[in-house]
Amino acid sequence: MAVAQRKPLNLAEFKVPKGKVIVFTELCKGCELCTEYCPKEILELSEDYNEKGHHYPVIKPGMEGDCIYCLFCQEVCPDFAIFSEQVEEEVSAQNSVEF
Amino acid sequence: MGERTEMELAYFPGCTLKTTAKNLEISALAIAESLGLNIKEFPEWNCCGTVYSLASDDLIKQLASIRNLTRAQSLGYKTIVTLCSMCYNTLAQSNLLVKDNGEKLKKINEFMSEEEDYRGEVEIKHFLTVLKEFGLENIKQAVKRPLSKLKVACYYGCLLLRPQKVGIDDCEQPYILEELVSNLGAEPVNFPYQVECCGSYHTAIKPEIVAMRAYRILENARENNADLVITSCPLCYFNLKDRQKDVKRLYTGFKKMPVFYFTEIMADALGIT
Amino acid sequence: MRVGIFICHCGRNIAGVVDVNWLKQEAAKLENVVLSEDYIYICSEPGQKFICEKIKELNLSHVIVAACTASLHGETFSRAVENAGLNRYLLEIANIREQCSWVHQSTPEIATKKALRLIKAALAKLTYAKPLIPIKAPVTRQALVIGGGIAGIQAALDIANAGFDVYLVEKGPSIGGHMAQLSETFPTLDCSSCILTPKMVEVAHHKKIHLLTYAEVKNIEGTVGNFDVTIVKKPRYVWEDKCTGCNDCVDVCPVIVPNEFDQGLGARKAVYIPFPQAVPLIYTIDLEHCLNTEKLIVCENCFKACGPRAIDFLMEEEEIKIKVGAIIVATGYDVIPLEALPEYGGGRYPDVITSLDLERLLSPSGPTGGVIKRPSDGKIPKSIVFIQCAGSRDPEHGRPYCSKICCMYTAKHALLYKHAVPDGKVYIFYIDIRAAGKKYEEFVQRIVEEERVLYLRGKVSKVFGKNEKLAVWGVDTLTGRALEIEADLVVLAPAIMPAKGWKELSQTLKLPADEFGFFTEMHPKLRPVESPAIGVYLTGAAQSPKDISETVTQASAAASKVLALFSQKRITLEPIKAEVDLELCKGCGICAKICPFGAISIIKKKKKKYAQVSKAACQGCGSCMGACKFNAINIAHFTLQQLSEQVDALLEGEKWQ
Repeated sequence: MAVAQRKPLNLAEFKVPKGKVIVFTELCKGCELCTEYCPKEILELSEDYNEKGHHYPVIKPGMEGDCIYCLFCQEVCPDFAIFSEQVEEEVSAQNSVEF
Repeated sequence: MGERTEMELAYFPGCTLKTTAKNLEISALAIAESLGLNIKEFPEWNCCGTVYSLASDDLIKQLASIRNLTRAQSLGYKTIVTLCSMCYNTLAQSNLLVKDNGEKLKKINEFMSEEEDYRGEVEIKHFLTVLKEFGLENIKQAVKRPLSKLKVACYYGCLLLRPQKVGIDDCEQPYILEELVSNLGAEPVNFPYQVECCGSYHTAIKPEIVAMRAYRILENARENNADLVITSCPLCYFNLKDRQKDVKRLYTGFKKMPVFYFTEIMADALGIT
Repeated sequence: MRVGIFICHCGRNIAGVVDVNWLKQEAAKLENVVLSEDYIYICSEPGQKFICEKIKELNLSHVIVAACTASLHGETFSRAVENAGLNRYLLEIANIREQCSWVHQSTPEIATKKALRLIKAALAKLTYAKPLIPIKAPVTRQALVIGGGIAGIQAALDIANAGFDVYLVEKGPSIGGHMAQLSETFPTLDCSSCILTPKMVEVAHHKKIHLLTYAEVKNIEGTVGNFDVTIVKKPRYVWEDKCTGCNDCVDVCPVIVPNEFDQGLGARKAVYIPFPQAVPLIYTIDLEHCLNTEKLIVCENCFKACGPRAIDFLMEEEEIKIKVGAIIVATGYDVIPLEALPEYGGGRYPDVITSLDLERLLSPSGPTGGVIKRPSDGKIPKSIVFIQCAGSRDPEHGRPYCSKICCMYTAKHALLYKHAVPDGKVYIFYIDIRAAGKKYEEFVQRIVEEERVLYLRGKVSKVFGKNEKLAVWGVDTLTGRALEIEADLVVLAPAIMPAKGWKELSQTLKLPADEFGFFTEMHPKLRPVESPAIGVYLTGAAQSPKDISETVTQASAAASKVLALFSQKRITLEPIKAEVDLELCKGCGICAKICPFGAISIIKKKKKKYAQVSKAACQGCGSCMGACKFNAINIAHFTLQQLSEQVDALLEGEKWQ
């Protein structure tokens, strides 16, 4: 039987940074590095193509508010096609973190 | 006698499997055949002695079960597989008793001088262990009619899990039946009363005790939203299923709860008719 | 060679079985023996005086005392012969009590003959004995304390206050141990942090204490007075001298993980301090959970937020080598995990918790601010079942011992809960109530009588979930009734086990431990803080389960032993050490490989290889002597020649059947 994983009781006291992901779809060459490196796994490849014929990253449905502004995607993209902007509102960890 | 391979298992039915628990045997053997397990009843087995054999440490009471082990050994089998929990427990405990105690083994062999000497080479396995060793993944692949959405309460009873030295799984939180059932497509429910005794032999003289215990077990299964209860022991099956009329007499509001052998629903899932 | 033989009667212990008169006469006939006397209790003052007088009177060069075991009075007689001016290694003790009269009580004739053989064997060994000078080694007057809980803290303070330098090594990021996790301590209900933090701060500011946190002891070599210790400091990725403890890094860290200090009931970020009063107040980055790895650094949130620029992801682990004269082991305890108690629903239901979890819930600085809440839904429980002896006093599950502190803290928890929730119901299942300290019994009685807590003498058979609550099946043996109790929360008092890592430490220090991992003391009654490894002392729960007052007592006791050691400028070591015969030694290296203390090295000089023994590290165990094919290495006072002559004398040329 799986061990009951503990959920911390004081998550409401913690705040995590929040970010908004912006993609320059036309610059993307579909290398998927951002999708791989996102620690919260909120990116997936789009159904659509850009002008060059590549699938570009989009946020998975329902995960729009889950970006934690860690900047991995921004750092790893070889074409500067994706970055994240910090959102100023305070976000409580209560709902955004899974255990 | 000839040597058998590891894959050939001697099947020990025990008394009830040929009579009141015939459906357990039929379904189990059909499953074995369909999965390609080589399980064959070995000739000239005798009653394992059950409770009589377990009653105390005295050697003479082990005779019945050890004679079975010797018969299987003489036919070259390395493993005996059994379906009845009682038989499993009795044979396994007797086996353990003499395997590590050379003196006891010698005494018994000398007494049963007409049989060949038991050398402690036979292993007892319950059918559930054999299925687990066969591989749950393989079973999952063999499923033709997944038992989807069926909520199953897995009832173990006592003798399959206790004492720990012969138990096939942890006695407080077992999961061997739950694993099997979820690989068949069904949903095992949380069932705290799964290791509570059904009343066992009290059914012969004081069926009210069994009725009371069966009531609590079945009600607990119902509380946890089970559609049916499965079990592996013929005695538990009798106590939980056939005694439901006594339960109804004592607790008038009681509604019937279906009880099956695990092999019956498994045979269904594998598409065997 | 002028040998004097003294045969003790030991009252009737020896004389009641062995014919001491016959023995005395036969012994007198042996070669080189000029004196053979008997005495009723030779260990007594007049007895020792007798030996001294005879040595001086007859100018004895060697002495044999045929009496009880050398373990008991070896030191007594050694001092006696030294008082008379004789080297103590020219004294041999023949054990004609434990090895003769006591075990052959039914056959006195055979015992008497055996006693003569034992004396002959002693004589044979003495014939090849040499006088030896004890080795004086300098003592490095610095101590190492392993473990930063209350035991380690107290020991370090005591030694430092006496003026000696102490290295306090703690593997976690802060000192404080389990005592820092507690809410209030029994029986006074002092706030645990309030009494602990002053001591922690004293440690931090003490000039003589060198605090090494987030560090572990990797290797220890050498012997008492001269230990060479290698300590590994794990990288915190935060510079200790720059961090101001401002907390800015925590706000921007995106990773949340369960906080070990809060037993998983509270959270922390990947950059954290375990609790607000941590000493040292330096943040640590937990690289395992941080988004960065050793090779890849992308998330720089904390780095950018840190004003003093204290964060450095390129930090590496640091190795520190120190020399100390004594070591105190204060590694403490852990509680057994919930998964080890499945019959009580441990690990399966979130509302089955351990007492340490409850301490965090009760603590004002804990995850719930001191409010007891059910972990499953956060509601306040209205009925609690406490189960004592969960895992202790249980031979079937491998722990037959009593964990000592549970009866007291369960009573305390019941009290604190009733004060917080006056209409709540408390049930405590116990086997016995052990309240043996000062004011402890009064404390428990107060709770039983005043707080209206139901104490049920019996064990619990099963705990399982029932409609959002927990059903507890138990028995009350005093009324003989089986019970089912519906509880909102079940608190187990788990068994105490030695802290993780005891096995490695036991091997590093050559420290024996019992089957549970508690380190073994020299003698449980008379020498409870000394270990068989000389120079290594034990304190606290690492030696056996105990509460805080006993721990502090034992810590000061260990410190006093260390201070006794440091009060001498040089320490005297027994000269029973390995010696290499350079002519026979071939430099093959087997002895160096076999030596359990690493005391032998093979060196090359003028094209010849030979073994060299470090007298400081050698403990005289004899493994090298047994292993050497060329008989080139001997233990002084137990040379191969001495031992073989002894065996020959014992066998008296008889063929062994």
